[in-house]
Amino acid sequence: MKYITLLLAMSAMAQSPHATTANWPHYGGQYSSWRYSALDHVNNSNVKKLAPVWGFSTGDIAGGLQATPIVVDGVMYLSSSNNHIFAINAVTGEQLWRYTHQLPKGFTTFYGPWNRGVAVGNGSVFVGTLDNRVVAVDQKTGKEQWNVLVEDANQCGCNITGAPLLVKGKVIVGVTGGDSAHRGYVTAFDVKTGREAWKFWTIPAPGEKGNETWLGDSWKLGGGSSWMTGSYDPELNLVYWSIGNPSADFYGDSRKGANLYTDCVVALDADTGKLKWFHQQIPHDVLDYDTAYENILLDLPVEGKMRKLLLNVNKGGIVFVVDRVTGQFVSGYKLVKHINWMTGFSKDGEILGRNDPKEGVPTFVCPAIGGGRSWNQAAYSPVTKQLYTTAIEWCQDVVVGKEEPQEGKTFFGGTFEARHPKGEPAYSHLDAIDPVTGKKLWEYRSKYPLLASVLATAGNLVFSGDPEGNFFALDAKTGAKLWSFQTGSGHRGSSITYSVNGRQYVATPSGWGSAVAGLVSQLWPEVAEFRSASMVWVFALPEAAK
Amino acid sequence: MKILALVCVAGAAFAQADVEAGGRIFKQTCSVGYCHGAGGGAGRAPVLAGRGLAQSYLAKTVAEGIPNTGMPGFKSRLSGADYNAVMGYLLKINGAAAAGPIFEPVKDAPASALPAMARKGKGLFFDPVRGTRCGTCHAVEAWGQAVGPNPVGASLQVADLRNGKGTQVQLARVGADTFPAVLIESKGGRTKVFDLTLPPPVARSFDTKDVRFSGGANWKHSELVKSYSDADLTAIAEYLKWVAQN
Repeated sequence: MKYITLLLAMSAMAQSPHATTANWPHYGGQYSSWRYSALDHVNNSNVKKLAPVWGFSTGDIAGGLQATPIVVDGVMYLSSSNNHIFAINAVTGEQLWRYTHQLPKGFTTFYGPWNRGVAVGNGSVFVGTLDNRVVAVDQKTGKEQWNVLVEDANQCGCNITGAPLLVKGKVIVGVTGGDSAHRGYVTAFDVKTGREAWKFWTIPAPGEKGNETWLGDSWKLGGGSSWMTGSYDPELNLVYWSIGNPSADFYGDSRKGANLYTDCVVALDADTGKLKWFHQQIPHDVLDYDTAYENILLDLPVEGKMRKLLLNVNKGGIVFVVDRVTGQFVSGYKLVKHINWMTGFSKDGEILGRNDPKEGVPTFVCPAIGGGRSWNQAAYSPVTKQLYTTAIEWCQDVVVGKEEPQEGKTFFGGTFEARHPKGEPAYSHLDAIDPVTGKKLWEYRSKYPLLASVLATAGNLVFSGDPEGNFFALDAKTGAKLWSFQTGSGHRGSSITYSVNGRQYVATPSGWGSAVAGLVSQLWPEVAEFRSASMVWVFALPEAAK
Repeated sequence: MKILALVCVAGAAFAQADVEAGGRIFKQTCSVGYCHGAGGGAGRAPVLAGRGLAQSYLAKTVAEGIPNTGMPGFKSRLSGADYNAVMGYLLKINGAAAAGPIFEPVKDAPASALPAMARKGKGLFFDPVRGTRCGTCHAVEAWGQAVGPNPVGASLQVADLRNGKGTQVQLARVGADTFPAVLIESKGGRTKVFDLTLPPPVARSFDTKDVRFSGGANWKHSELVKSYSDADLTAIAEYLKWVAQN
């Protein structure tokens, strides 16, 4: 009887739409981007015994390793910088195949060599490339199936670094370009043929609603990138994607208006790409505070009533919770202590007390452009009902300067230099907070900015890594550090957990690098000497202890 | 586009004002965003200050960039005067003596000679506002994708630009799927074609034994260029003519 109950519980677990089990099928775990696993063989009572079982080096350390590995049926699919893809036996670490995308000779890109992950399904592995292509390769052999140029990277100065999202026979990708003179989009391609299924332009054209929020022709090259990965609600059939800052980042006078749909979460019909609703976080952003990060889909009570919610962390160090059926604002709160560009939220979610920088003179702004949190993602545990997210306390001096757009070239309209906050040195923290109210349960501190995603598990554990190379496990209820392992290089990727033949594994990328990692050395000069790498480390409990 | 000629001469010196201007340009161009740090200090890109970097290395790198990295070449982005000013600044932060060999200030190339109509045509050819533009399937100068033939040197009659011959386009059959295709290559048992069913074209790969080609593809160039008016195509023809002549 006990056995049957267990089986039933396991089968319910396997069907949970939000938690992962044996596989880690999508970038954010499941479509709701919880980065939470129902696996609990590794838990807060035995995690001290966790030990490495294999490691895998990609051989390309440029920009470190930023990916989320995908695991399907005992095979790990990993992408590295410069668009290498590897299929790896998830038990032994043996390479099964490798695919390397050929970049044009002499190709350079402002947006760095990194890649944040692949999507796997329909017999293919999909990757977005540095020269702005989407490529499908055979899941079993790594042989190329199709390859489509989304837009000429030499012209647009844009490309793809985010992981694709696979929904109902379509592979959906975003695009970089938010710091360039470029107009963004989200594009869907048919998984079998590579033919374009739909395209959502993130800035409306003349005649479309929202174009009136742009002065003159500024909409044509006004940014609105879509550089991270979306989420999906199968019941509502909506894809949620975050749209980045308007360009130029800091100079806003030539693009007066609210600048839709920049700094918005957009809800798109998964079949057509048609806009269902949008929620703009920051109208007329002049601080590069992207709405770019993950959209976490939660069903939680608000004032006694169950609501379908969407939680989004904004780069400006604030969190928005909206109704994911309608886009209506539910709550907002600050994630960081040192924040001076706004004072709070109105009851409708309008940002109050904005302190926008002035032209030509330095303005002290907190947080720094690297973000009150960077793109590395949060995790949500349905057991503790806590959101686990990193945050960074740092500031900058911004000098705004007028700039004319040149298509495909960087378009910042200003400069910045990182600064320590007033009264204390910059630092970072990983927090457990109530997702709706922001009430903090505990805080784990780090000297250096925490730039790796968080993983939560049913084993009452929270995993993440730090720039010094430590991969660690915290007690999900108390924040106490239970285990740590030095992987040899800093963490900028996203750890996952999976199981094969009943044995649970925890995997983490290790490899210091990235754009924001480069900023860190402005405040901590020694970080410039931190070593890069491009490894995946995989851990498990000793066989006998499982 | 401005072209720089790199001319190395000994004994010329930069005025202090040029070095200061170089510092400003460096701030706006090189230490911008997530690239080099302020003053050539720490950033995502390498530290540039105090490393004793050689002038010849700096000159080449600033002009040409470093392939397969985030470092672009600036020879088409900076004027000659600005390039020299940045060089003066880079030498200064590397402790180079002001009187050392430096570049002869390069005269700016004359402003682009592209006439107004041709400039308009270039804008239309690569129009970023159109999801499908000429550059989606044709490469000219530094931009575009060469799926269709090089339009430079082809007939520039508006009717020909509109209708396009499409002589390379065949009907490909793979299982139950048929589509208009342009063969890219067939080797090692694999065949790669551009699938032209919808723009943008998709480069698809198959086992050669699974692909059959025949004539009779249902494909019309005029469908792809229907967003362009005859006046647009006239301007595009002017642009292509200018490219052919320059």
